[in-house]
Order: sequence, then C-alpha cells, then structure tokens
Amino acid sequence: MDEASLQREPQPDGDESGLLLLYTQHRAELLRFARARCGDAAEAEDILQELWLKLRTLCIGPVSRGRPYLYQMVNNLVLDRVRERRRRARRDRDWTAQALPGEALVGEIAAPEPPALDVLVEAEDLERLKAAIDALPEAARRAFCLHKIEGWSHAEVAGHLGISRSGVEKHMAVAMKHLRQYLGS
Amino acid sequence: MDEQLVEQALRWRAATARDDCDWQKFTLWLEASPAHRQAYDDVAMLEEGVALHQRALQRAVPAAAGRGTRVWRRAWIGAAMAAGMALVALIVARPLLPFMAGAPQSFAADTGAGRTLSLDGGIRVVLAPGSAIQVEGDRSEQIRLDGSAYFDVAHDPERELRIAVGPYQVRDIGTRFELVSSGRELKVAVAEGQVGVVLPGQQGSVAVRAGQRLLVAGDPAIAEYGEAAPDDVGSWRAGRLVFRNEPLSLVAPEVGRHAGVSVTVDPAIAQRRFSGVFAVGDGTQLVDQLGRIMGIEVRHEGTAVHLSAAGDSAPGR
Repeated sequence: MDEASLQREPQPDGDESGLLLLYTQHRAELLRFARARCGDAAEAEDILQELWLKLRTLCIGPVSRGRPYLYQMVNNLVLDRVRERRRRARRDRDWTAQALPGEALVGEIAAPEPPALDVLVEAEDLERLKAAIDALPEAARRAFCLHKIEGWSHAEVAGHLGISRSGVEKHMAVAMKHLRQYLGS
Repeated sequence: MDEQLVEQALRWRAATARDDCDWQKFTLWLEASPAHRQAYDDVAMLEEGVALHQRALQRAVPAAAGRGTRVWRRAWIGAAMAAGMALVALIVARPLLPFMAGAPQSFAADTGAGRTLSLDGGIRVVLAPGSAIQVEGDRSEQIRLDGSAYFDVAHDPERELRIAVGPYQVRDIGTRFELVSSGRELKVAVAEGQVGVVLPGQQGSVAVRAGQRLLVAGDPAIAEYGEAAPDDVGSWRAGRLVFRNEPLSLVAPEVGRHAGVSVTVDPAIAQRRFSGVFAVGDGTQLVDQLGRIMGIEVRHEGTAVHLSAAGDSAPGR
C-alpha cells in the first residue's frame, strides 16, 4: 500500500488513517523489532497486542508515514515499560534499604538485576544529577551543559566551542558514559 | 569501547526520534547484542531525567562556558512579555510611523489574569493567563500562540487567518474557537464555524467543526476527535475550567497557567486522562484539587509544581 493512499476519507470503523491495515501487513517485522527491543518474546507479543488495541480504540487522524509511525509507537510502548520496571525496582530497593537499616542486603531480598540506571524523578535526584554533572571531565561538561541544559543544537555547540559536530558527539558520549557510571553505581 | 557503545546508543536515540529512521537497521543493531538494548534504555532514561530537571539544573549548575552571553532560546515567553510592554509605545507611535505598521506585534497576559485583545481585521482574542501571541499583517493574518487563547474571528472570506501553535498550524476564516497548547500537545475546540488544522509533515488540513474538538497528544502524536459542548469552549473566561478525557500533559500546564505556577508532569503519568470541572477562583487551590481528584502526588517547589504517581516516594517520606 503506498503512503499516499493512507490519506483518505474517514473509514466507518474509526480507522481513519489505515494504520490497522498497515499493522496487519507489517506485523512480522514489528514483532521482530519488539523482540529485539525488549529482549523477551512473550513481552514482545504483549506489546503488539497493546499496539493493536490502541489502533482499534483510538480514532487516529491521518498519518503521512504510517510504517515509521507504527515503529515509533512500539518503541515508546517499550520505553513505558522500561520506565515502569526501573521505577518499581527502585521502590523495592528503597524499601528494602529502609527495612534493614545498616545491614548489608542479602542476595535473596535484594534480588539484584543487572545494575540499570535509575529513573531520575525524585527531588533528591536533582542533587545526584548536579553532583554527577559537576564531576564530568571539563570539555564534556561544557558541551553537555550547552546541549542538554541550555537547549542548544549540536551545530550551535560546535560553533561556540570551535570544534566539529562529531567532536560534540564525542563529548556527549563521554558525558553520558560518565553520568551512566556515576548514577548507575 | 564502552564509550563507543554509548555514542552509538546516542545516535540511535536521535535517529529514532526522526521521521526518516531506518528501523530495520536499528533492529539489527539491537539484535547484535543485549548490551545495545541496555545502553539505549539507559541513555533514554538519563535524557528523560535531565529533561525533567532541566529548569532546576539551569539555575543550579555552575555556568557553562558562554552561558549568559546568550538568552536561552525557549525563554521567549519572557521576551514576548517584554515586547508586549514595548508595544504600548508602538501603538501610540503607529500613526506617526506608518512604515512600522507591518512589524509583528506581541501581546502577553500576566500570570493570574487573562487579557482581551481587539486585533485589526475584526479578531477578538482572549488570552489565558501566562499566554502570549505575536501578530503580523494588516488584517492580523499571521498569529503565533504560546499557551491558550479563545478566538472570536469575524467572517472575512478574503482573509485566511493562520495561527501557528507549537508544530501545528490552525487555519480559519471566521468562527469562535479555543486553542490550548503545551509543547507538542494541542487542543482545538470549536464553538461555531469550522477550522482546519495542519499537522507537521501533512499535506492539507484536518477539519474541526462546531461541537467538535481535536486533541493532538502523545509521542508520536495521535490526533483524536471528540465532542466539545459549545458552552464549554473557552469557559475559563467565565471562571470555569472544563476538561473531558484529556491527557495530563495538556491538562496540567493549562491548570498551571490559571494557578500562576509552572507545572511539570512525570512522563510516566503524562498520558493519563482526566475529566472534570474546576471553579478557577483565585487559582491557588487548582493544582492540589487536580492532584486529589487524580490520586497523584503534588510537590510544590516555590512557583514550580511537579506531578508524579502516588506512592513513588519511598515509604516513610
């Protein structure tokens, strides 16, 4: 089905954008993507089910590029779950730490998953973030602050610091790597 | 090595936010190693965390090089307010300075008070508190809106009014309607007549008719039709805020505007829906009421308020 034919008159079943049809046609590759994205075959099926329900129940307006749109929806559904899972893990851990003050956590209780970076939603996370940013290597910190905190584009940061755009990308990678280590430990 | 992985993850983060992402290639990259998935997730969560605390970090983090030499681009509401003050002089001077008539004019409404404007070309605009518009053209053909406003547009088949709001454009010939916006989220509710909404990357426009509303929300954005009772359109002008099945990402900033505070919403609950009616009053109770009704946590920090799911805090806090 070509992209242009997605823009047509509203359909009686509420699928104005033809996304349901597109979903049916591309289900196999979407499933493969979901599996790679979340690393779990059963969860990938759940996610496609959720996507299908969304497409069924929402009255979605015209979409110019349907296939990338479906991929993006899958990607976001996965991120929703990642966020929720990490949040729950953090809650459990906070609770365990509080229940056993001063005691080393026993493997059984803590049941540690591989250390994953926390969600950073609490007020105290601001302090953690500030400390982590302060501890960044100078050049990476400058690029990170301009791009992520001041909202400058890569090109603007490159121009201001007198470096190439790939230089900015390198700085951002160094910054992210350090923040990930600092906040994930 | 680790750095390379993070660099790749960052590139994929940027790519997956774009329209032209190569999803097949992304799938292959993910399949190559479970570490790729984890790096991508970590980078995504890190970016979300930084974005959530961005305002506070701007105030708190020691100045980066060059900071202060440039105004932060998104702070343009402040700039619009300053321009609104300059405007008083401009209006007075206009008859004397006809060459300036084509210059864009900016108007802003203070927090805590709406503002009614009569624009050239028979357009009446009621700006919600904390909102701003920029107007261009002899008959005010081009308008840029930041925040919320109610429009009453005299019918003029010669003129097509174009209102830019976030990444969207609303086109109108003559009607009464309301726009509520926040970033990439938009509500268009029409009381009378019909407007067209142009979505990014779209040819042509989507029609919204009297008694209808169009909600554009979520990521990627979904445009969703619903009903709008004409009496509810812009009812905040009469001190009544009405929401029907609208996402928190749109409801919270709107409530914040009327309460005179800036409200941020945890991304985990941003797409939760809310229906309800508030009496605006002096605005001070609004955010807490919203929190109570939705059963979510409301945290005040000065004039900033953060909304998150209840029970996110560790017990005992």
